[in-house]
Amino acid sequence: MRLSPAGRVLDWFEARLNLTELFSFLTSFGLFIVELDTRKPIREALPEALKRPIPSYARWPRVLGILTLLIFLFQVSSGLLLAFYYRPATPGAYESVRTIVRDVSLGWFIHQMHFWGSSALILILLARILRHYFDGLYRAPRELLWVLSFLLFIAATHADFSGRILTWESTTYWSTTRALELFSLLPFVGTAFAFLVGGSNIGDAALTRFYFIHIVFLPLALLALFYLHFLVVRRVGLSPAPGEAAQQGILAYKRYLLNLLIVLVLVFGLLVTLSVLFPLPFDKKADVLTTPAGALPPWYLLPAFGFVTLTPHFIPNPIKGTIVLLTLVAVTLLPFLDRPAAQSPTGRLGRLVAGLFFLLLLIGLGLYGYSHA
Amino acid sequence: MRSGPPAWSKAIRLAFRLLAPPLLVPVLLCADDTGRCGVCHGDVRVLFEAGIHHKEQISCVSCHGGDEGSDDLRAAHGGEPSAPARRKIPELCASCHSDIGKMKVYNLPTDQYALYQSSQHGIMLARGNTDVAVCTDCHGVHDIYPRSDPRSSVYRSNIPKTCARCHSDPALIKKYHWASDPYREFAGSVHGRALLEQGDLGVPDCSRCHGVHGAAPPGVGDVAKVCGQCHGAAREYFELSPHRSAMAAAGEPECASCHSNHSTQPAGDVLLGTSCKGCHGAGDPAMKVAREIHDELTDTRRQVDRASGLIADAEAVPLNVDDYRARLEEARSYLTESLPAVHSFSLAQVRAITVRSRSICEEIIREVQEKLDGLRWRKYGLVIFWFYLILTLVILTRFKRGLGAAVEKEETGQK
Repeated sequence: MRLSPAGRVLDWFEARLNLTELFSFLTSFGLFIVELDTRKPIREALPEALKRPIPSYARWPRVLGILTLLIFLFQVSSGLLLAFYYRPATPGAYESVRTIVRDVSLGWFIHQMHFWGSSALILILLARILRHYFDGLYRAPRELLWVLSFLLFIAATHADFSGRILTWESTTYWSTTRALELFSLLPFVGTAFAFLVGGSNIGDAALTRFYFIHIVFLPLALLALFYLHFLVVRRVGLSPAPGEAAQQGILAYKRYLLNLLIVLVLVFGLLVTLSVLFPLPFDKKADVLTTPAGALPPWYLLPAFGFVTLTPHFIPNPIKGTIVLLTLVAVTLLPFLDRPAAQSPTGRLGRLVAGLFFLLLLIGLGLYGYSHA
Repeated sequence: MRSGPPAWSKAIRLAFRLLAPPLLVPVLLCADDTGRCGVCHGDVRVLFEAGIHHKEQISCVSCHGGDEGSDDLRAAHGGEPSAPARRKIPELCASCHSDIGKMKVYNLPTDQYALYQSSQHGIMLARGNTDVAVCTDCHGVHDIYPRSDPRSSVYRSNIPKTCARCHSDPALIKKYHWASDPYREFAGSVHGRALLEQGDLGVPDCSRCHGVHGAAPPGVGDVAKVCGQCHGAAREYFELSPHRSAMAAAGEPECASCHSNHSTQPAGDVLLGTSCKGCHGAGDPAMKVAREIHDELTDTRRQVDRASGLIADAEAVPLNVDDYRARLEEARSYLTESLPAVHSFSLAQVRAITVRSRSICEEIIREVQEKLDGLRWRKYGLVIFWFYLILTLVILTRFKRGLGAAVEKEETGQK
């Protein structure tokens, strides 16, 4: 059998490197859904995997997962561009951000896209968690998916949170201070954050540490979580929709990619539009001695903020913090706490009511926190 | 059997004899410092020792006479009455303070007594009126501090209260038929608020206008000179104005005619409409000039505010407008410079300065507006971006539809 030049190059590499393993790793961030037999050469393993029946990918919510990864990659690349000009030190941080948004050509655009991208990432992760909950997709064998999704959400909010302080503007500085006041109520977590701040207020030490966490620690953590997440997806398969016939591999897979591309283009268009039409205003430099009125923590912390402000003062703060922390732990471990009865039709209704109630409670607390800064 | 006092009684007596002399030493030392006067006049001694005269080794007898070393009441007082007579006080103080030899080392002036004699206070004292202020009324009696000391009653910001002790005393106001309470008026004035509330020592206290030791109210014709000490530019323009000779002829106290004397309010454009009415009728051409100057200043201020607002808008974007900030300060300076020119009451004189401020503002407004208008290209870019985005979506959807057809074909083929 005569091989094409490309085939010969492939064979040359195959003799020296497990190409199937490499392909499996690179596509395991959500691009290739089916598990590959890494003992076989790629020329055999790939067509074999493509022949396997997989559910139709036409329904949109299934692209949410891969979309979060793509937005994350977009955040990494725009963040890298910003890092070319950014200086993480207290005399200089604000000025360098001002240079980016004012003097560098299209710097404002990258800055705004990075901001809106971060919010989009959190929102889409939130949408995924809600979808998993209301479709009951957290049950066996997808418990790990739920836990990892929720950890991804937590990590993404931390990435957003640690990025806010870096601009050293008055609003972001005091918003972070408010949030840290909230964190200080949480047992264990509060102590960790107190160490990170490294003083009685946010200063040079905190800025350097937040910068490191923002550009090294959290991106690596997110990447690891994404990897684990899609490994689980490969093993347990995509969630089936009721009454949906499994389709043959390759064509359905192309449709999946196309759907992904369409949603990606739309989300990118939305981000660009938001960045141009609703740019985040650039505030004056933060002054440690002047607290502006009405400083609020970031929006995703508003429910917790509302809870702490709403509950009576005679309840000691550590108890409030413990309640918040226990809620977070309970949500993370939901698949293991849910009773099997929930699978019956009445149980499904119960889940729906409980979910809606919890969601409305969060929104209500958030609105209360927003109006009681 | 033993007789006589017990042993413990002897021991106490011995101890007392041994300890008494060292215990007396501090008492004697203190007595040495201000003579023996303080032994009886303890309260006065406390006051005196805090003051400057004590620090400069002036003793009680320097003013009161007598013998400070004597324990005998009559000898100590020297047969003189204890306090100097009120009429004699200026003379007494002058015995040192007009002595060039004595004052040279302190670099103090020696003309205060001569000035005092020329003042209203001094003239009336010479006529035998002891209601007037003598040295001790303003400087204090025993607790005299240098005027640079904030405790001193003649420290800059304490002077109004010191003068007010007599000049705002209702009994004295009634007795001498004074027209008003100057302290109350001054405290509410722009000068008073700056001095008394903000502690600004650059503004005038009473003595800056009325003189220190030669205190007298400035007469008509001299008011502009007094105010002109600080408001030099305003005075220069005033001297050139038609008001100069007209007010002198009418016996009007120049600056005070419009600005009042003690209750001077912050000068503003509003005075240009209101204060003129006292002399000028409604149809007077002078009122037209006042209105024109008023409008000119209002217009200029509006331009400066507009330029400032645009710069703030641009900075919020943010755009780099640092250069325009500097230009705006220049425009503000010209506006400030044009305010004293109002006293010339010539529109041409005022306009010569405001035109510079306005032209700078126009330049700022034009150029910053251009920069802000440039932002709309971002929105044009967005429209172009969406055009290509929709094009991409159309292509992708068509491709997807084609793919759907292929699936169906394959499915039918399989069947």
